[in-house]
Amino acid sequence: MFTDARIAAALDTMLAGIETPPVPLAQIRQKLARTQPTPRFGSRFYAAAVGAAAAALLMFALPSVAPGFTQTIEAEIEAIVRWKPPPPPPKSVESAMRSQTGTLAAAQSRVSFKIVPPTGLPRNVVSEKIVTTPTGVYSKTTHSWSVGSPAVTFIYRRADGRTFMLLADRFDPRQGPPSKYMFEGMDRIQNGRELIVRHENFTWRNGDQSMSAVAGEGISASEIAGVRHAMGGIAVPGTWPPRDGTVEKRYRIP
Amino acid sequence: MRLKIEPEVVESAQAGSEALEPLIAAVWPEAYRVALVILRDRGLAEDAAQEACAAIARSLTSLKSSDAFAAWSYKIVVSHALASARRRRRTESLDALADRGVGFDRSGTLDLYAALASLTPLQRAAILLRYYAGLSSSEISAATGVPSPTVRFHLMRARRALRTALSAGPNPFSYDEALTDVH
Repeated sequence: MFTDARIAAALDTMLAGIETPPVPLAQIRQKLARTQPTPRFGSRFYAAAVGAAAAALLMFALPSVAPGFTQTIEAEIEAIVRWKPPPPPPKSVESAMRSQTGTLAAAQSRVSFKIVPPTGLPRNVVSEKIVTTPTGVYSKTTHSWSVGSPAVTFIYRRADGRTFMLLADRFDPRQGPPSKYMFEGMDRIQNGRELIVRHENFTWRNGDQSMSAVAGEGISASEIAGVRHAMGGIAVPGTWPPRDGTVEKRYRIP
Repeated sequence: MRLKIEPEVVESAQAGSEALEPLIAAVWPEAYRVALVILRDRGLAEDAAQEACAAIARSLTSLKSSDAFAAWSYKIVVSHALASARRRRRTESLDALADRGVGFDRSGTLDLYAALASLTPLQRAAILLRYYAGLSSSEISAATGVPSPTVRFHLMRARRALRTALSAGPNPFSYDEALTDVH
């Protein structure tokens, strides 16, 4: 008998047999933030505010529509990382920060410093992507944003599926010392608070290039040290709390 | 209808408490499964389900009755899946999905997933909303933007196609019942 009840039962059984991937809360939060009519300083910025300056990196999702889901944690973040984020960049600046993927030569043609490519990478690196992205510059004097010179991100995938990034930018002593730590939101609430994990951040110089990497699941601190050593880089000590005496800060907003 | 959320949880999430995150976590598996059945593409299904979950979170405060949450959620999921299907009219066979590691246990069940391949995304959406979510033709019409008579026509066609597909292959059932229109 081909009845409605049989169709319903068969659908029940069929759908129950479909395995589902883990809940992608981070992606959902990003979609929430992206579709906001008037997004506030939120996830995209936090996710991408790779501090070329003495600021801490935050990878957070902060859409504003659903307080319970997202939590207004900016004050909490500021208290933890001791860093007050700038206001969100205007759309004109944000839209100018389009990333371009290409070869090392193409990246070199777009930046104002001599690129020293990473060497001494972990042995199981299987692919490399080179992305050039203009930086956003926020002036604390004029309280305004402008588009700065591009920086380069080397993105690597390992044979076991892990990925990591190495960030190259023009070394600018006016930016002050780098932050010793970066912070990552783990998309989990623990004891009623957003779970935040601290990672070590490493920076080194090669000529007029400053390269940095964050230790974490993708690459360990010792592996980063191996890269720096192989490149002959000069370590730039990080500080904590960040010393924030500069008048201009550069951010990457991919 | 498989999605069962306590009204208190919905109301708590609407009030802006921390309940929204577990609410979305509870919706996600259903959103993904429904989107996958309609789109038959894992990547598209994930994206559509994510968009739907974001839309649910964004619009939750506009939901008047927490009792209607499940049906309301299914409508949103189907709407996003159909929008995805319109953007990219591409389907993949069950074998292709299996090759790509989409977990789906067909043992001991009707080979309904394969049979659904003969339907359009809209027909699959109508079948799901009618027989899985338990919506009426008028509710499906509201969810899909298709007039009610057209919905009933699609359901009739879908049932007929399913009967043909399921009768063609080896299965433990017989499908000799005359189809009736769905009104």
